Amino acid sequence: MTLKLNKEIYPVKAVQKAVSFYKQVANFKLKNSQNYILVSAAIDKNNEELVKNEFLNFVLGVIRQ
Amino acid sequence: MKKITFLLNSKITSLEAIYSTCYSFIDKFYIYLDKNKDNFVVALQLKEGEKASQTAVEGEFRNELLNNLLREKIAKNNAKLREYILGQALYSSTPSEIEEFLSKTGENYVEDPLGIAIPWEEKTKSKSKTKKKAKSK
Repeated sequence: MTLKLNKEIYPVKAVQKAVSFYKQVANFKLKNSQNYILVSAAIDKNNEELVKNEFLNFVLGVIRQ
Repeated sequence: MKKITFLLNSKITSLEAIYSTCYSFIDKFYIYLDKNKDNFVVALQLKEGEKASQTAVEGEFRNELLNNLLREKIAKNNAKLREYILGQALYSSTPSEIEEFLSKTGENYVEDPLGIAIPWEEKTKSKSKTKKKAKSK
């Protein structure tokens, strides 16, 4: 699973916090590109879409807090 | 349900208002945000088991966004007033000059030695009773 999160929208701290909460689900890795934060994780294909979507919502929730 | 993707002009809308709007849609939808040159890109995907009309979703989102933008504007306009009210509340919770003076002199206004807190009616009643008693004697 790879996610591209725009830095202007998703603050790095919020993404890091979300990753720390999702530690038990999968081993997430963060990479910095020019405008995006690249989030990657090894998740089995059956759950990939669900985890990806839930993670995105979770980050938005963290930002709102 | 397919993904619904639409654009929001970044010159008109604020990111804070978009966050607030997304937060109110988070229980029914999976939300992904992005930004291109002049627009925010919003992608909504309905969660399993939830029902919503595909055409209505975008409209509802935009309405909620307007609502949040208005709230933001009102909050900005009332910021000084809110600060003033909060300042007053904090100021009134600090001990006043009178209380400081009383603590120095050791007097206590609760004791009321001059009977200032006694209502006027009670005072006059007690006086009229004593006068009546004196007259009857």
